[in-house]
Amino acid sequence: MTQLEQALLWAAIALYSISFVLFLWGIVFKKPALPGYGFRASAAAFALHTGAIAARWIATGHVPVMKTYENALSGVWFMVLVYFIMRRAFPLARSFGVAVMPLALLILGDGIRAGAVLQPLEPAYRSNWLYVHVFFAWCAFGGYVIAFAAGVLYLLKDWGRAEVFARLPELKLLDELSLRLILFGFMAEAVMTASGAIWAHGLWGRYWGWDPVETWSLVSWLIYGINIHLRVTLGWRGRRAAWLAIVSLGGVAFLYFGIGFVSKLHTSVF
Amino acid sequence: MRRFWLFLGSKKTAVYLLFAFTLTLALSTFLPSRITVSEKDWSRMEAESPAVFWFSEHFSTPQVVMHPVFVGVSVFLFLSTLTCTVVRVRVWLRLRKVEFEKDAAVSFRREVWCAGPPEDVRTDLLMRLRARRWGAEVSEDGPTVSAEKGLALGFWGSVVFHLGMVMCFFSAPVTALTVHRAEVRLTEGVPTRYADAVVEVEGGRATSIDDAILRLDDFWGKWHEGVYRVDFGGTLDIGGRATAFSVNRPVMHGGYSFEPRSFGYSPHLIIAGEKGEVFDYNLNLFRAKTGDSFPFEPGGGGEALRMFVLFFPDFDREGGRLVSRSEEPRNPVLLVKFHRGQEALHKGLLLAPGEEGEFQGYKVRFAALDRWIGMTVVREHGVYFIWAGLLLGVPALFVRFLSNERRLEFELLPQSGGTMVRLSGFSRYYPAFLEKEVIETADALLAGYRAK
Repeated sequence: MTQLEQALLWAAIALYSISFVLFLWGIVFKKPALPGYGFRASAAAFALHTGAIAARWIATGHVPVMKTYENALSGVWFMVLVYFIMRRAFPLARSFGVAVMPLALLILGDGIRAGAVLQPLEPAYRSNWLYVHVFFAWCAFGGYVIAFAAGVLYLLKDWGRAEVFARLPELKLLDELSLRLILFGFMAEAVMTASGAIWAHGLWGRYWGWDPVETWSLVSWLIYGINIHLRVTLGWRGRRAAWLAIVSLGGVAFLYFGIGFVSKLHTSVF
Repeated sequence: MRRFWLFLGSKKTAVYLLFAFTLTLALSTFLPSRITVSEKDWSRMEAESPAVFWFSEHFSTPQVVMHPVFVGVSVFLFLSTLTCTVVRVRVWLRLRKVEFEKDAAVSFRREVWCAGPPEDVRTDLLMRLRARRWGAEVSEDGPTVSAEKGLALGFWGSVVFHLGMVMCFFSAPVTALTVHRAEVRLTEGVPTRYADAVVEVEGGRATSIDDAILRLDDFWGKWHEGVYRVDFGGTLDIGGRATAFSVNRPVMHGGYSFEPRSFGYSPHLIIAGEKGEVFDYNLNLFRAKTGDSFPFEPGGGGEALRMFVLFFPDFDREGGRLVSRSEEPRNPVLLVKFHRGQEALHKGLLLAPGEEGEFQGYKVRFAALDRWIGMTVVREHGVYFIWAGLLLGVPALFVRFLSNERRLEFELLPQSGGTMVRLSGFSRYYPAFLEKEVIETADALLAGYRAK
């Protein structure tokens, strides 16, 4: 990465860390003002993060979408954006920051570990379908991750006897937000999968090849499809639904972190 | 038969089938397959790990999706989806409404006492609900007032989404029945009959273009800093009609799509002896870094030699070593060596385009640097079902989940000189927010009634 990108990104990581500490401290030690500062720190981190993306975009000449590092960089940006939007629409969801910030740090850390070599856009990526496919992939990812966070907070509040857990949002709200986020992610992943298939048809002459990444995209979509059927059709709610939201993310996590080790086929071209 | 129909139309059946389908796919990806492993490693696995090889050969993803059991589950899932959808539409056509009670919709209850007879409370409730744009009606037996909002779009969104999925299911058999997919290889400037250019084919023959003459011209490639290939393309002439192409911009001809997949170098080598030319071919090179080997039989049946060819796109010397500074052909040089068995017959000829060298009385000329290109040629109709399924399914999914279907029921029972109102709320997706809305609505309605 360039020096400017490096400086901006590390500053963003520092502020995301501070934000997490402020959220956690405010909840655990009952300091109502601290989560507000935590949000401001996360907003500042988001601005610097945006700058890092812009710096990389200028250096490479393309939107950062290739390989693990760029996917982490852009994916986390979308995840934090989804959190900000949700926070604005549902003020009671403000405390989600305590779960979103550490996830952002983990994913960015994994991306940096994978290496941030500057590369031009490969021939296969030079298509308008790229923007559709990747945009909706990130929206889905952001929705699912925050639904996972809602599930974790639900279980903590449901199990925890300590006063700190009582300060988390209402169980009903957590349950419903989790469902809404899963629905949002499901819709976005449908568009992601569809656009990927159409793109593949124009690029490789087949809309589906059962390569591991394609298969796990379908598997993760079906996992959430089962999730929704269990909740809506068979009435699963509360603790069961929270566990569903947590376990379902496993499919997406494997798709994002694990399957790349199994096969380079989806991203290696020409 | 009826039991089978009920079993197929059951939502639990659909969930179990979906689970089986998903689990099978997920497990299959952990096994190596011919997609993820090279031919060499596949053969090595067969020799060194026969058990893993057997499982991979039978249960890796490309194999398991064609297994009769998996295909059977898929067909069942298709039938289940279709049956559930048809049943829901039939119920709707019969009743002209969605029965909330029969779905596992979320509900909650609240009780409030009003001073006033049930008839008065009912009349007032109906008026106030309709003023707030609820579709309110009284049950036939009198005591219940029900009101609904946001129904029709959501129901039809779900139906159309599932129909979209059913359409997508059709794509697989249609593709299997109609597909022609071939890998063709063309050398720049060399007219080739389509059937002769095919190196691999799947599905039926492309009878309408088998005899078409293809020619690749005007090849271009773009590199970034001499290392990364960022784009390539050219002009493809099919039967006299030339069309420009590049990656993501295929050529369409007669319903077939010609998509560029790969390219390499194809030096044109001419070898002439005393009696004339004995070799005049383009050598399609596939092993850029390690070199390619070709047979050379100048005597036409006499002793066979082999020609080892190594191409340097950007030739340079580092001490005694021959290297290429980049992948971009800025200073192309060809190394040609002749072997008899394992024995090298001379140190090799280094030739730039247009240059000539000598070997045992033969003149070896590097006439021109051309390219070869690999293209995938496809025609199949299954993709149209994917398009149809997606154009139906995705917008329908948005409609389904954005419509907030909910229902209120007010049961009015005479009690203690007034009316006990038992309020129930039903919402498919958003119970917490419905509860808040219902409580506010009920409070406003009942406060309004009390204020009269």
